[in-house]
Amino acid sequence: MAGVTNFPNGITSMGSPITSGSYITTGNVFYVDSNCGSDDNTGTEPTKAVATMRKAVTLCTSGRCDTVFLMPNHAETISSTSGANIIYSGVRIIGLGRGENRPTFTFDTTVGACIAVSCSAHSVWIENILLKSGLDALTHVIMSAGSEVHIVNCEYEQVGAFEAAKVIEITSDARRATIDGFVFRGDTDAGGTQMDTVIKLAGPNKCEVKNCFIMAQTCEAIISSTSGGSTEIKPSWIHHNYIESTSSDLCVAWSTANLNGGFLVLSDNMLKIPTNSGDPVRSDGTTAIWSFNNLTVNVDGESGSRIDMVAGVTS
Amino acid sequence: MTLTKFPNGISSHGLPVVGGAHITTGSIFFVDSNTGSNSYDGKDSIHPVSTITYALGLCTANKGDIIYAMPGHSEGADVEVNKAGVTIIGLGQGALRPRAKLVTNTSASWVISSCDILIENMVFQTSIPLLAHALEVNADDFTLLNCEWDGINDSDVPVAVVIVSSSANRLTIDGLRATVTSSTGPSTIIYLHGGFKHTIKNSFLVSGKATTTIGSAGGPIGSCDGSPLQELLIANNVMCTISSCSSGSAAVCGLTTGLGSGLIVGNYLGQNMTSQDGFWGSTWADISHDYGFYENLFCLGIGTRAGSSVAGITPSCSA
Repeated sequence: MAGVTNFPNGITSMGSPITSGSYITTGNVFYVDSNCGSDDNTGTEPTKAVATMRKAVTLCTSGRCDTVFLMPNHAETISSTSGANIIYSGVRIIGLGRGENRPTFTFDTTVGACIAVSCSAHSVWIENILLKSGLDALTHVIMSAGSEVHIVNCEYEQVGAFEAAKVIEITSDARRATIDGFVFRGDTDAGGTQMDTVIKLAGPNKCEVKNCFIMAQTCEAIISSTSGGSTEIKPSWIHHNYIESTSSDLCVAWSTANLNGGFLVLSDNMLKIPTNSGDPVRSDGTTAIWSFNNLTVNVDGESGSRIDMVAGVTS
Repeated sequence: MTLTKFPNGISSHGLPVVGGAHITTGSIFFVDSNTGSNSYDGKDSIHPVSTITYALGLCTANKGDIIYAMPGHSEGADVEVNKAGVTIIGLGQGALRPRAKLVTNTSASWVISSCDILIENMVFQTSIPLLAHALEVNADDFTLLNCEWDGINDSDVPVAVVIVSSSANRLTIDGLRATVTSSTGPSTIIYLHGGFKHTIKNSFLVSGKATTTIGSAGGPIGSCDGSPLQELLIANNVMCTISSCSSGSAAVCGLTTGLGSGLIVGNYLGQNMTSQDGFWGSTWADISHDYGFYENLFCLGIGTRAGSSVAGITPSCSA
């Protein structure tokens, strides 16, 4: 019997590129590899990878759900505010590899250096990349002004004394952001400019934050929102996260301009704060937060107690 | 060397290979309202047909055929899904998920008239105020997976998102996201007229005025026409009601004693009116005999509240 038939340059079937795994696309597929790629290449095959994510994004067609695979050990340094702009809708950026082999982005030179999803780019998907600080007081590491962004299974690492003011910022123009499986282990003071917050949702509109593991020292809450919600009912949902604040006693701070517009469902979260008298969840008193099955502890080894809330603060 | 293209598709061990996690021994068709034409054969994504209705006509019943609706596809007319065993899968994420736009009149809808249909990753929308319903299920074993109701305008809401006739059994609604928020309606998001072994799970349902989030004709889940709801499972949903309507505003409404059975477990219910109930039906004693209620949490009232274990039910409420 003949052995496996190999197509080293890839195949398409019915117009759809075939890659291994459970992913299907009818768009184009591009490959990025800083180690052996070149931005002069076509990027359409792993052996003809381009060198930067920015180049690969320019090859995409808006609205086609094109996929950009970042090869294992791909590494980019972003040194400007426009160094990693995503301007096309539907682009899926997927990092290949595990652990230290994941594609890595380091941000330096200017505090505005970040991965930026423009307001014209909706439905962008960013998955499995490692983000590292290369400068203190970065404004934000990922910023999305585009609606329906998905940030999936990404991780942020603080390097040395370089801290970011915010790691993920979703602007008020952006609705329906999903942050899933985000990891940040920053439980010690790095010595730089202390973070404001890890996840900032400005004027949240049907946002979802789930399955995240976040330990951080922040001036504000780990996850915070700001006013700007509409009078329409736009519920957000924060669920199944482990959130530990090692400084501010505040894991989630929710504030919107309108009671119904910005209400929050908070469910199945584990919240750890440093003191016994703090409030892991706080609203501005005009915001509805419905809290279901959230547990809080303040001491290692303690069993979680369910959060009971009254208007404005936890108790 | 470049990619090797098989525009007519490839198969391995007799199974078409197209990528993704879906496996079938049937045929595969592609649909795209932007680039497609009903003069194409729809057998590859370069030559998609332009409507799901046309693609359904190409399918063979009970063969496991799959219709892939491509990113950005918009189906602007009513659809009757009348080929048994067909799977309709939307490709894309976010705003690029395929859309079923119900915009012709208040009776526009998708009708499920054959068995064993699965619809996944589609967004249902309307621009018609008080659309009767988006989906009408009249056949057995229908599955709605990871779909969403998203009104084109927030004031354009249906009377119900999904209605299920008494002749339909073994419905599964998994991962439905629906926010219906007009002060003029609707009555329900999921409307059950009867049937057995329905499952509603992992969904996030917010009703802005509704009398109920899950309910049945006239309110009782037991069905006003006497058809019971047997072996019902409502599990792990978030169901919130923001309403100025003080009566009949329960999250799950209409459990009628003597006519049903099932489990209602692990749901989180939020109500902004303190006079509202989590579950509504006949008497608690009767309902708790017919249905098992476990680990449901309930938040009442405006402001920040923590869920307490409750299954409020009229005429008596327990907290």
